[in-house]
Amino acid sequence: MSRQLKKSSRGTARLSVLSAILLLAMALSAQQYIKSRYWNYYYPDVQVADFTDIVLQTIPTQIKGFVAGIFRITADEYMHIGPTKKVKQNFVAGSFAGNTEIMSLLELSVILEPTNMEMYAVMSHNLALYLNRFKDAIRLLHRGIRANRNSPDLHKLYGAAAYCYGFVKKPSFASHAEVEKNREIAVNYLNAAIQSYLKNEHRLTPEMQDDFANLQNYYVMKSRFLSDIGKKQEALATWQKVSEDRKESFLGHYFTMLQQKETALPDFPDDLLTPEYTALFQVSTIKPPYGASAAYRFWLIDPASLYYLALYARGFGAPSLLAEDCPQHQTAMSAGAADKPFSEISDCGHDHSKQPVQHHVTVQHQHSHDHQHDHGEHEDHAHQHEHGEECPHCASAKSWKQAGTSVMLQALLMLAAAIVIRRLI
Amino acid sequence: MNFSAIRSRISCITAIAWYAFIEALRNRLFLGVFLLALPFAAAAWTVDVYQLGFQTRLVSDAGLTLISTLGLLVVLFFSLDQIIPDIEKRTVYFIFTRMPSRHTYMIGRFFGIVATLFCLHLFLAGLLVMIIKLRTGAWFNEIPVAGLIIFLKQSLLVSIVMLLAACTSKIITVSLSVLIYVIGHGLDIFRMLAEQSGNTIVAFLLDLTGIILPDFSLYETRIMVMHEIPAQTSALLILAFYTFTAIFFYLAVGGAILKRRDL
Repeated sequence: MSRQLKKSSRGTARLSVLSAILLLAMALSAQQYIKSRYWNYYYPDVQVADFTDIVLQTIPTQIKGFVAGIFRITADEYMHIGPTKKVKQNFVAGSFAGNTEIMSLLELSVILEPTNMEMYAVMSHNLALYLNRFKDAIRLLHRGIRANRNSPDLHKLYGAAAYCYGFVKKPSFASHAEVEKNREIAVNYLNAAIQSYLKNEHRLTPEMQDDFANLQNYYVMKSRFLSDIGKKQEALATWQKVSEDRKESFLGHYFTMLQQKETALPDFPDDLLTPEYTALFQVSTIKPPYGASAAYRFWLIDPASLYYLALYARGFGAPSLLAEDCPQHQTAMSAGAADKPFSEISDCGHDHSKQPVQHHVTVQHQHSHDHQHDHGEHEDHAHQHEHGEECPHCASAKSWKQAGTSVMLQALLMLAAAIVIRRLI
Repeated sequence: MNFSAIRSRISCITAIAWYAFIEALRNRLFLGVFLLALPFAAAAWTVDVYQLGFQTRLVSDAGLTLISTLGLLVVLFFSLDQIIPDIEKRTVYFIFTRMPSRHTYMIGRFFGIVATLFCLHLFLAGLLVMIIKLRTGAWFNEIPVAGLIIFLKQSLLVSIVMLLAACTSKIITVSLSVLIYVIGHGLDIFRMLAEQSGNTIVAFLLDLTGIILPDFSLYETRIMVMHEIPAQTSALLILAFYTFTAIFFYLAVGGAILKRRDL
């Protein structure tokens, strides 16, 4: 009896082991089959060149994309903030050009999300044209091209490389031989960009359209670079592909001269502008912003923004909400404030320069934030309060005081409650 | 209460705070947090991918985020280790027999964690300032000020964790602390949005909530540091006053709950 039991239990164990092996084999074959049959789901076009790439493959794409997005937004924020006041930095707020603070963040975002095409152009232009890192820029673009071989936006990377090669040396500042050498390479990249664009045209959606990286611009650049390297007839043939509205330009003038075989035709289209360049540099009093004292930065920053930032930094209200309520702001903006790059802002952080002249002074009111000022003294800055109506302008200026009071009140209330609790409970 | 009673109470608070501080310092987690700061400090050098120079803004921004995150870890993990384990291990009976009141015990525990937090912030903010000074040659005064503001904020959070630890279990304490922390950051914005959309009832309710719950949005330091806006002493004083009164309030409530609690 016991021998029979032993036998049957041994048979069951064998069967279990065999079933387990069979199930494991089936699972493995299914795994291999899925990956070989639907390989494009699991093995997208990613480059695995080193250990970092292998580690990155273990992180879910969504998380990588999310973190990369945060890095991009932070880089954009840094770009708008500009340089620090305490360290000499050769860039200005609001421009990517020459900004050294954003490059690490953008590099990280590109490492995490190599399929995001926008960053390659920004980074490569910055590296090649402003930061004197031309080789790094081209290396970065090659990395992008390898990671996005099947993307319909691939032409943008070729276009960016052409732009870097085309404009890293300019005829006005470099020897003609150097310019020709670079622009010859740029033409190759432009050919690749045009080819890629035409090949993937059916896959391009309206959202993918780019103001810079488009077919018309590629033709314009190609015709210019071809003429620069001496291939005038090829340049003329490419120029014919450019739409009529784009032909009304200096380059168009140059090609008209070329068609008419003018004797005064210069080697480069840029040379047409030489007198203007010379005139500009003779009369220009523009000084580079870097190296100067920190005061210049305040000319570039809207004092209203600083005022609101100060409010926001202290937690005394959201600047957008305060600005939204201010009719003076709206009037000023609608009256074409965009005409003036730096509008005149009064001490209270508002633009009163566009106020109608018929404003009369009826109430003198004082603001007691950083320092007091009297609107009654300056007729240009005055505005009137009617029927006891709350002036949003004053409301926004007073808001920090109100908020500070509420914080103090809350603190006192908590203190009183704590004492009561301590005494009675 | 006479002078000797106050003195004995202060000595009790100091003794509890000192042992809570020593306990936290001996904790391996705290040592790990300290050691974690070193590779991050090294990252300030390695982050410069294209050798473009020191990334001042990035290092100060990431450094302050790191200080805030590590401080938050210390608050959550170490504050929880103060009251609940004492109650679970019954060691609290021994302490209560020698304490004038349960409030004293709670205040002592609170100061122990605050001292630990202060050491951490002092070390990390000092390290960050020194790194930036070494690389740029400039003193960034905003960083110690921001460190102080983060310290005040996290001290307030410690008092809330203490209050919750006095009346609930560990898991509920952690969940509610995180919830209050998140709500405290967004409450003011929600209130303003409600006001803006004309929803006075919701705005009023949020106002009421804002009286009881702490307003963590007051401790926003990032804009101040990033835009290099100098902090005004008056604003810092108001903030410190608000923090200490709110801490006193939460500790008083926590002490009252602990006093009533049947252990």
